[in-house]
Amino acid sequence: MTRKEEKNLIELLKIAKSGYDKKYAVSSDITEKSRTKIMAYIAAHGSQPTRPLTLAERTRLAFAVKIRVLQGVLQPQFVYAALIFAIFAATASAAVISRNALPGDTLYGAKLAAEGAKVRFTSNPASRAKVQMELAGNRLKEARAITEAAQGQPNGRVEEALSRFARDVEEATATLKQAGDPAQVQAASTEFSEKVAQYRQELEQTRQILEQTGVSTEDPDSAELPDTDEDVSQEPGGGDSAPPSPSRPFRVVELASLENAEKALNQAEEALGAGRQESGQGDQTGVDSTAADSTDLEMQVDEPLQDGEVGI
Amino acid sequence: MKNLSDSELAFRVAAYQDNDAFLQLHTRYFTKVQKFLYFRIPAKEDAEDLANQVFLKMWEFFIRSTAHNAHHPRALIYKIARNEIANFYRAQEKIPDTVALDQPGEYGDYPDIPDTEENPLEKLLKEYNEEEAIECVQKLKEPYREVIALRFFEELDINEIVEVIGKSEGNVRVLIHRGKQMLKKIIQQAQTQDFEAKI
Repeated sequence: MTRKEEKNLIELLKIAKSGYDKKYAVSSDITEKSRTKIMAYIAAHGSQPTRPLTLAERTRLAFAVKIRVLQGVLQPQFVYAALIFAIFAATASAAVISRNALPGDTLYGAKLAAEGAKVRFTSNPASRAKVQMELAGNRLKEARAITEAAQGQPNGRVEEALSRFARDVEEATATLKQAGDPAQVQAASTEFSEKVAQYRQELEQTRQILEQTGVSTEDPDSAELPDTDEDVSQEPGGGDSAPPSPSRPFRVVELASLENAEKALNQAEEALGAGRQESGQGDQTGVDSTAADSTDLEMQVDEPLQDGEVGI
Repeated sequence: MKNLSDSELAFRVAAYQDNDAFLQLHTRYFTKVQKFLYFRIPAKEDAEDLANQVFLKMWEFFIRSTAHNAHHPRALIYKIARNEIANFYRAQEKIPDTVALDQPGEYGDYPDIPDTEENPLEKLLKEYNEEEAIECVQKLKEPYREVIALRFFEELDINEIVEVIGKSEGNVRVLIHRGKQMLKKIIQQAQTQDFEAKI
């Protein structure tokens, strides 16, 4: 049937309805007779006169009607779909809102949970190690953001971020060791090396910010605040910079957390180097260069500290 | 009471046996149900008796506890009317002219007559008056006549028709579609018979 024919049939049915209403019209006396019969019957079978409803009855009536309307409108599958959509929407919203959360914020736990889920859903060890290393970078960004925002005010949040960073790097290193496929390990190792170099730079930048806003005493183990009456022109960075005002608060540099972070990076680098030796990818030159690098590191450790440097 | 919805009236009857609420339902639906019964039952007196029966049975249904869950009170009324029609024919040992939906060639009495340029359906339909249009619908076999009447004469929603006849929404839509196709064939055949009679 074409659309035009359908449309014409509908028109015919409208004509038929008009005829139906006229042909089968019900006279008023038939209606009245029926009403009288019905009233007599229901009166004999338990009908009650209309009365004003109590508040409880009106509430019950409103509630029952709403439920009935909802049951008619909402099919179960729509309710389930709406519930699932609401859960997804809430989860996605929390993930978006918590993206910029920092240690100590309310949604920081949600941020860590979302990152943990991302790691758990990566089954391949090499890929999982890459994801863990990538997420470790977030801790560094958090530490940087906290130091920039803290403006010299001491808090434990930098330490928390750096501690998590060190832990994440250690876990990523351990995960990479579990990977079996040499090709995947090689690809992951390359990325690891790049990340390690990048994170070293970022740690160094964070250290510089801390030094600019905090105090760096000659005795790195000392956590005492300097006397504000003392001459602060001997502060690292030389006397070229303007001396801070005596009222400016000093922040204790969380050296231990920085040291742990750098230690974790060193261990990751060593693991990468060992991994290359085991897979035979490193040639003698590479081994020697790796040894040379570690020797250089030792030499660097033995060298006297320059101005502005803090010993390990 | 006049401003209350069907659901509210039904609830009042079911919960409190409110006679005014029930009579309000009677006022709203008696003429509609009566017309529907006139259309389905050949004798007028039988149709009037059945209409009263419908409302008495509706009262009995509402004062039982399960009546609280009636989604569409209007559909419930037509459902009771439909059951009364079935009981009526069963008592008279008469079976309305029905079609077996699963048999091939269910349109067997109405062969396909292709439209021609000289006799398009549109032209046919324009020649029909109200009486002839109703006769065409009356010629439909069950269950098409019933669903066409519920949909286009009584103006029930698809959901209400689903509740009245107890089939799925898909089945109801298919019945309506096939009913319209049968109607088209009836019209074409009637026109062909008129043409041959004139010759």
